[in-house]
Parts: sequence; C-alpha cells; structure tokens
Amino acid sequence: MENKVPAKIPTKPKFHKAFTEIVGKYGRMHEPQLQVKLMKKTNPNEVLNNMLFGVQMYRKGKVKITPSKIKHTKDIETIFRSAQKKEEVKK
Amino acid sequence: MKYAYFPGCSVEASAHEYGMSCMAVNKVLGIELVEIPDWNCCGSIDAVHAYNPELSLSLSARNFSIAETMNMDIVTLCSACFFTLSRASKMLHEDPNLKGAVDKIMNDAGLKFTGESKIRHYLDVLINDVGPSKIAEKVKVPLKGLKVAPYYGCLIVRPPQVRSFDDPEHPKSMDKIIEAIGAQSLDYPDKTRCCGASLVLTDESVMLEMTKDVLLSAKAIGADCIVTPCPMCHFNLDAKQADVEDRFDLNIDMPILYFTQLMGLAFGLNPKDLGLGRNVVSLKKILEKLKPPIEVAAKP
Repeated sequence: MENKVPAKIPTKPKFHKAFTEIVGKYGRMHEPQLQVKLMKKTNPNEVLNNMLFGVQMYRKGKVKITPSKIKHTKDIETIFRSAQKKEEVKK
Repeated sequence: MKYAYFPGCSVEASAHEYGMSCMAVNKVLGIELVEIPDWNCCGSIDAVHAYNPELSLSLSARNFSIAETMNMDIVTLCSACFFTLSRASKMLHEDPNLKGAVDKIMNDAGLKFTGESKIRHYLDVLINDVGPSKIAEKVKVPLKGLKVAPYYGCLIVRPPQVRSFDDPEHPKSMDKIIEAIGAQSLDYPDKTRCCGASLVLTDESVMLEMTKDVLLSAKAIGADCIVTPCPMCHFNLDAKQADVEDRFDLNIDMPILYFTQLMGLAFGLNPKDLGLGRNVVSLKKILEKLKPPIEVAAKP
C-alpha cells in the first residue's frame, strides 16, 4: 500500500481502513458495522442480501447490536493520533 | 490457577458460546480467568497492522501494559488475538527501534509497556498446566464412539517463529483433549489448512472454496463433528456452511463445535451453559449419540 502497488484483492485495503476506523471509534471491533461499512464501499447492492444473513445470525445470538466501547477512549484517541503523526512524518 | 484474561472482540459477539463454554469448563477444572480491565482490540492480525504497524503494536502494547499491573500471564481463547499479541510481544522484544517508537506513543497516552507479561492460548493452559489426565478425571459422560476431527487452522500454531506451544505441522494438543474426554480423535491432512479467514469479507468466493475443502476432508474420514479453538474458523465452517452447500451443490451437514463445548458435554454440564443453541449447523445428530441423549433448544 505504502509503495502504491495495486492490491491483488481490491477490497483488502478498504477492509483494513474500515476495521481501523471502527477500532479508533470504540477501542474494539463491532462486527455488524464492519460488514455494512465495507459493503457500502465495495458492493452496495449486496447490503440487503446480507441483512437476511445478519437476521439469521442475530436469532442465533451471534450479533451484538450495540457496540462495545472501552471506558478510556482517550487512550485510544492519543495512540491513534501519535501513531498516525509518525506515519505522516515517515511519508 | 489464575490468569489475566483477554477475551477479544469476537468472543464478546459472534463467538459468545466459546466464552460461555470456557467459563463453564473452568469451574470444573478450577481455572480462574480475571478479565483485563478496559482491554481494547489487539489489532487483529493484518487488519490494523497493514494499515499502520506501529498503531497495531501500540494497541497490543496497551493491553500488555494493563495486564502487567495484574502480575499474571495473559490467556486468550482467540487464535487471532493469540497470534497478534504474540507477534507484538516478539517484535517489541527484538527490535529496539520499534520498541522506542511504541514507547513514545504509549508515553503520549500516559501508559508504560515493560514486556513482562507472557501471552498464552487457553489450549496451552489446558494441556500444559491442567493436563489431559486431570481433564479425564472430570469426565461424567464419556463421548465413546464419537469421531471428532480436530481443526486447528493457521494462527494457533503458525508461524512457529512467533510463538508456539505445539507442533506447527502436526499439532496434537486438541487431539489429546479429545481422547481424554473419551471421544476418538481423527487424523486428516487438512487440520492445519487455512479456512479462508477474513476473506469472508473481502473475497467470499475464495473463502467458500477453502472452507469447502476443510469440511469435505473431515467428512471423507467419517467425522461426526469438527472441533476448533478459533472463532474465525468456527464462523466460516459453521455459519457459512449453508453458503458452501449452496455454492457447490453439496450436502455436508457437519456440526462444528468449540473444543470447550465438547469438553462441557463430557463433563455433563448444562447445554445452555455451553451455548449449544448458538451453533448454526444442527448438533442433533451428535447429541443423539450421547448416552443419555441430550436435547438442545434451537434458540440461544
């Protein structure tokens, strides 16, 4: 990614970005948001089809509607800010 | 036996039954897992690491820094978290420049990583701290006649340079547990083959092909069920099994359990406490084999 080499699987960099954004927001992953966020960016037509799968998983107790958020989100904000600043300096 | 517990994000959600069954089994074996207060995502294999390696290492380091105040080894159930935290620990121990960069980030957040806590997988604890003979002593319902295919996946044993408590090519730890609880552990070539992992989100057709190969391999050797220690593998093999069947016009019908759920059945624990209603592929055909047979409500 750093050297602008095209990704073999084009959705991979979008996956990394969407995953990182959610962790930056809550400090933890929220699986349903990742799925929707990624699908909106890569395959919006599939959002509805996957909602049916999501309902099946919800019925099985495998979907947590409300994201789990850590208490000290300030730690995560600072870690993100500092790490991203270092990355920008490198570039 | 007391450890600092890192649940990981999946065990809080799609793999909730893994956490439930682990806690139920712990009561029988006298293991205490104390949750690391306010733990955060480990950085999840390549998800954050590919985006920004120092960010990923710092996320892992925050968990270590909190656990270090507890003076206990860290134990996790999730193979991906185990790999990510082990890799972070190794990289930060071996690369002073990287350690310096992460220390600076941690310092900005008012945290300190010393690297004193060791990360271990729960399976490692069961095999090396508890031991198969103590597990066998607790069996109330021997799973005699049940043929079980242990599926390790990739991250619990590979790459061995990162950290491993078992053979990277021919792991045996889960096999030993299966035998200790009275079932028959089957050997087959695909037990450490990749299931496709997060390709489920980025290239599902490839993941379905890979998962199909694992499922058919276990079916070909006559397995009654597959057990796994990994939430990602469990999701692909169990929740996506219907999609594999549709895509390739197959009838697989292979129950997929966490190894802790199978242990709980052998210990005679309540199926509700093992989260058996949360498994997607019906467990009916294996539960009927048990003596006495067990019934499980379809809803969790």
